[in-house]
Order: sequence, then C-alpha cells, then structure tokens
Amino acid sequence: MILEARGLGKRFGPVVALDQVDLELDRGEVLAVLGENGAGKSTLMNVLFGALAPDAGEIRWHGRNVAWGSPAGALAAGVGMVHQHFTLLPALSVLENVWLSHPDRPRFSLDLPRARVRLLELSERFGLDLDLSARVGDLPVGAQQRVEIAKALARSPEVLILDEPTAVLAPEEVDRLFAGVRALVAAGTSVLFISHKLDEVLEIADRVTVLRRGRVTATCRRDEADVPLLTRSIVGDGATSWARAGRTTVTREPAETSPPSPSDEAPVRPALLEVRDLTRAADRFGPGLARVSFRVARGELVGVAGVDGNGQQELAAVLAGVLHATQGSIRLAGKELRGQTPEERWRLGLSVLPGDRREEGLVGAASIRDNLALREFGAPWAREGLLVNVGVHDARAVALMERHDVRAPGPEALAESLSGGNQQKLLLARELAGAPKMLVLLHPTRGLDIGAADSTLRTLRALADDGCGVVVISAELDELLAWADRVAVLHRGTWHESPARSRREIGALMVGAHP
Amino acid sequence: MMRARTLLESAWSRQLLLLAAALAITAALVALAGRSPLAAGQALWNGAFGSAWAFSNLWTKTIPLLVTGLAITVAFRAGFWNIGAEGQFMAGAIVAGSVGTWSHWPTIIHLPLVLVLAALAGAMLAWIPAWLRVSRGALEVISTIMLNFVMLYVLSWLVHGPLQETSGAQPIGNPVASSVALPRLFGGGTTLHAGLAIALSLVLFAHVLLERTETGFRIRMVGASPRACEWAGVPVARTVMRAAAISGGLAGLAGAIEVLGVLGRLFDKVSPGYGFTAIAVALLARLRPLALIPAALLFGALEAGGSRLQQDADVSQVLVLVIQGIVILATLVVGLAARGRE
Repeated sequence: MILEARGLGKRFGPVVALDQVDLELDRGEVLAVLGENGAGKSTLMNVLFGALAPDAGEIRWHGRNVAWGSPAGALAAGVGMVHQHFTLLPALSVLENVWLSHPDRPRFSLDLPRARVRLLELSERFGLDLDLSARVGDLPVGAQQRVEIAKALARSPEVLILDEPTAVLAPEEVDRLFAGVRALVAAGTSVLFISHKLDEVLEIADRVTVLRRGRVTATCRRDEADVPLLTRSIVGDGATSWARAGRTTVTREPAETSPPSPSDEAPVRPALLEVRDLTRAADRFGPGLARVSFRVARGELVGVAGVDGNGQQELAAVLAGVLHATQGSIRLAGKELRGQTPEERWRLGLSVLPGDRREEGLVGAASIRDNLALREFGAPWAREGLLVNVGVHDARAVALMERHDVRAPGPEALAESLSGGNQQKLLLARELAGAPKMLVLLHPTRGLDIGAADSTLRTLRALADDGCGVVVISAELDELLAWADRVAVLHRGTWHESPARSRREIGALMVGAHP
Repeated sequence: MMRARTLLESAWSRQLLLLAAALAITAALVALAGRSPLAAGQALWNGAFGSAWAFSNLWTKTIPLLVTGLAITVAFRAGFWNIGAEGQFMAGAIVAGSVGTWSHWPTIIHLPLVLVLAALAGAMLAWIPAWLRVSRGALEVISTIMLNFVMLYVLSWLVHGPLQETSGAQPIGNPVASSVALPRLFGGGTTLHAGLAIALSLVLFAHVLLERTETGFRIRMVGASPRACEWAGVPVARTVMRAAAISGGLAGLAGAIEVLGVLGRLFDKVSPGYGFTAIAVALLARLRPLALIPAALLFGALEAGGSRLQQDADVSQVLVLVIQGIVILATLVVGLAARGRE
C-alpha cells in the first residue's frame, strides 16, 4: 500500500464532512473517489494532500503514519495534486509556468534551455503534447489542464490526485486525458481520480470508492461494479430520479406538436426567439460570435452544448444586452431586441441567467429580499407615492422563497451565505417572478450537486412544457441530451445544429471535428 | 432576522473598538513626543464642551462635516469614490458668496434659490468625473482630486478678481444679504446657526433616499455588485452618475450653508478640509446616514477642541489629522479583515 487512510474524520462546526473514512491506494492503480457535490470528496483530498488536518484517524504513507502538516509536506513526500481550478499564470508560457512551480529550480538563474529539454521529455513520455512556448492564457481549457498535470509530474510524484479533471473537458479531450492517465499508471504512478460521473469512473478506474455524506458507502473493483448498486451508494435510496435524469443518455421523445422529422425545413411552430447572423469580434471575452443564427419555438427546450470558451459567455451576454453584437438581429415574438437595454429586453419577456451566479447573477453582499427585488424594487405595486414600501418586498421574498424552496434563515440572509443550489433557486425565483416568455441560461447546473441540478432541469423542462421558450447553454452534454428537445453546438463562436442526437456526433462538433 | 441584527451589532461594536484604538494610538504618540496625553485630552474636552460657547462651536463645526459626510456616503454606497467633496463644497460656497450677495430679494425666494443653485453647482462638478468614468473609464479617484485643485484656484481667482469686495481692500467677497444669512440660534456670541436644521433634514433625506426609493436601492446594489446589476437590467451608468450628482449636490449645499451660516462671505479658504475629513466621518459611520450624526459630532468635537490643543497642552493641532488618518486606516483594515473572515 502506498497511501492509506484509516478512520479519517473531519468536522466543520456542526457539519460532519468526513466520518470514519478508509481508503487504500496501491502502486500503479487508479482509484476513483465518486460522490455528489458535498459528499466530502474535496475535504478528503485536502486532508490527503495536507491542506487540512484530520480531526480523527490516520494517514499512512508506505505503511508509516504521517502528518503532512501542509501541502508542502505532501508534495515533498511525493503526492501531487491537480486542482479543479487551475493555478496558472496566463501571461506566461507553458515552459515558464512549469519551471516556476518546480522545487529544485535555481533561485537566481533562469536555465530555461535545460528545463525545456526535461519538459519535452516529460511531455512525450506521457503524451501531454504541450506547445512549450505557447502563452497559457491563449490555450484551451484542456491544454491548460495538461500544463497543470505537467507541473505536478515535473516533481515525479508517486501519487497524483486529480480533482474533477473532466468537469471542463469535451468528450474528445476526456479520452485524451484518460490516455495520459493510463500512461502514468503504466509508469508506476498511482492516481486518485475524483469525479461525480459514474460512466467516466467505470472507464478509467481500477477500483472505486463511493462517498456519501462524508462516509464510504461502497468500495469495489471495476470488474465487479454493479451500476445500480453504485448509483444507490452515491445518492442514497429512492434516487430513481438520478438514474432517469442523470448521466445516462436518454433521448427525449419530441413533443407532439413538433415536426415529424428534424430535417423538415418548414417550422410548424412560429419562432418565439429568432436570432440571425449575430456576430461579434473575438476579444478578451473569447472567440466572439460568427453569424450565429437559430430559432426557438414556444414550448421548446434547446440545449447548446460546447466546450467552455467557445462563445457561450458572449452569446448569453449579447442576448442579455450586456455585450453588443456588431451585426445581426435578435427578435423576440417578432420584436427586434438589438439596441434595447437589458431592462427593456426583460420587460419584453426575455430573461437571461448568467453563468456566474455569485458574481453576475446575484448581489452577494445583499439580502435575499434585495436580490429578489433587484429588477422591480420601484415597481408600481411596491410604491406608496414617491417611496417604496419595503414590507411589500419582504412579504414577496417570503412567498417566493417558499414557492421555489430557497432554504435560508429568512429574507434578510445574505445571498452569498447560501449554498450553490439555493443560489440557483434564488436566481430562478427572481427571474421567473417576471413571467418571462423566453429564458436563456448559461451553465445552470454548474457547481450544483446531482439533486440540485436535477431539480433545476426539471423546473426548466416544466417551464418549456408550459409554453416558455428555453435555451440552456451548458458543458454538460449528458444533461442536455436527457432534457432538451434539440441539441446544438457552439464551437469557436459558430452555431452548429445537430440533427442526429448521438453523443459521438455532438462530441465531434464540440471539438471542431466535422462529421 | 436575529442573525442579521447581531451581525450589525458586532459591526458597530467593531467601529467603537477601532475608535478607541485610534485614540489610544494617538495618546501614545502624544506621550512619545514628551507631552501629557491627559492634558491634550483635557484641552480637547474643554475646546468642545468646556463652555456654552465651546459647545455651540462644536455643533457649528459638526454641520459641514455632517453634510459633506452625507455626500461621501451617497457616493461611496454606489461605489463612486468621490474624493472631490472639498471642491464641490467650494463650488457651493462660491454660489452662496455670489448669488447670496444680491440685495432686495425676499428670503422665501432668495434662500431656496441660493441653496438650489449651490446644490446644482456641486452636482455638476461631481457629475463630470462620473460621466468621464462611465463613458471613458477614467478613474474618479484621480479626476475628483484634480477638480479640487481646479476649484481651489478658481475660488482664489474669484476673490482676488470678479467677486472681490467692492472696496477692494481684502481678497474676500462682499457680505451675503440679510435675506439669506442663516440666523444664529442662541445669543451671547455663540456661533450655532439655523443651518443645523437644514443639515438634520438632509440626514433624513439621505436615509430615506437610500432605504426607501428606487434610486437609493439601485445606488446600494450597484455599489455592491455592478456586474450583477448590469445582468439584471439595472442601469449602472445612470445610477452611478445620479449618485455622483446627489453627492456633489450635498457637498455643494454644505459649502453654501457654511458661507451663509458661519463665514458670511466668500474667503480664499472656505474649508479647512471638510471634504476630506468627511471621508473619515462617513467610514466611521459605516456609510449609514443616521450614524453620521454621532460620527460627525465626534469629529466636530476634535475640530472644535483642536484649537485649544496648542495653547493648553503645547500639542500641535495637527494631532487631530493624525486621529482622522488612523480612523480611516483602521476602518479599512478592520473592514477588509472582517470580509476576509466571512
């Protein structure tokens, strides 16, 4: 056993994050730690990596008890970690980034040629395929992740921890990551692979340990894995919704009123939202938009798949009116929206939910009540002459919190104090209060656990079924395949309709390999 | 509800603590300089509370701090870092020192006219950097400071030229007309004037504005997160410009009140830096209009008492500035630390 945990426990105040967790990692194997968001995966990794000290239990390294004290201790012993959020310097090159993180680099000299040779060798051995002189900020996410991996590998770790490494990757990039992991394992490195995606775990892991609410609920070898059993271990009993809504590809039957075949050109239903030739130059926000055209009908839920940074942020921002398009048109129920302010667009029935709930969606330092009132504080129904009756907003907040199941001590609680799922409910509550005709959401399930993601998607589906037009822009292809009527792809700012719903074909479009 | 309230209380107790710390550090500095902190404290106390005159003087000094503090509060709540209240104060003073000298107008027209024009002058002066920021991205911290210098020299030129008193003896303006001069509230040579009523109504105005109107709500939200406001259709640019204009208007009013109530005419130097002290006042009050009253009183006491420091305790009046500086720094540090913990 190279790394072993026995009876690990960790509490944060009243919250038990880890309870009696055992874990064993052998030389040259991939151990997946599977679980929902909030199951304790990150806490466990932080304990194993020395970023957190356990309250109970012990960690054994090569059979001997250790206390890392800090990540530096773990690093020195031979534990490397690739975090979900990268710690790269975007303005520097790949080589410089790796060199800077290396512990043995000489303090006062910059021997880059030698470092280059070493990094090239490393890149080749593990199939990382790095362009050493490229500026990291210019690289796609998948390549940035490989830089992070190279940083960890440059220290020749015995154990490499990968924290949700596939969260931001397209299917093709995932395959590539897995090839790299296999090369590592073949060379004798052990890998701890953290994920909440069962199918991926079953593909890459030798063994699987499932965490639920801080406890290990299952441990098994891949070849003995029983999928229904694992699923139940992850979400607990009575979790049938997960299997249906979750990460398996379920093709939704088209609604009765939709045309018999997607290739049928004439739309039977009139377009609610019609976007034509929307164009925006590439800039620091991303690749821009290249003549994006699409239509969304009343009652339709359209999924927009794509790897992050392919124009998703721009599309949402241009539709919201936060960024401007250089040409094209956006028509909602026949009315042109370009040139209208975000406020006017919202009044006309278009509601756009940004991708970053904490920074763009909600005013974190303001109360739930104020966030719910953000669009309508001075609305006629809240006024008493010149002044606003704040009590009306209080009562409204209580009602909306109840209707949308926002869990908080009260309407005075700050938005930033809520969990991700409750923040999303709060944001949806605010937007749905205006009864929008058309809803556009960017990454609505990002950072949410399976339960919260499921309830969000269910809400959106119900809205569409009630006649609202819904566009979901997301990197979670499986969710889109399971819930959307139609899935399109954004790649380098270009919109691709995908008539067939095969995962493989859409995946190819996402990485720009046209079928 | 309960949790929100205890949080608020702890934030206020933090303010009291840092105030105590600022006073303690200042006392240590005085001791370090070989003077008696006790004597200095005694002198400050006597200067502020020692006599009826001193007590009225304390309130007189509080009025401009209170109103410029409101100006800072409204701007800072919107995330508009108006460091130009000093210049806006001068703009208001210039209006009062010119329009206010017109004779033979009835008070009922003349006084409102002077106050409105002074507010407009301050508002215009603050609106310019706000417009530069939202349309050109110019940092308002720089542009508002720069405009302070512009106003300083404009004022100096005016009292040496166009607005100089008719006799031309001194670089000062003509006295304001009796129709607009704010009456003294008490006899016996005390200085407290009717501007106090205006100042207190402005506190109420700012409080209601921020808490009960759409503009005030938007000011608070834009200050807390301009990005979220943009996505939610709150007109960020318009809100910032509005907050800046209201802020400048308040500072302009403060300048007018000072000329009409205390100075009686335009001087080269109408403000000992009220527009800057106001920043410390507003931060100490955690940008809450009602809390400005005690905060401004405290700084008013320091201003009023400071004049006795030199003669009674042989300590330079500059010490008052030291206290202000420490309060600003401590407020920022404590605020940042508290945010980091949350």
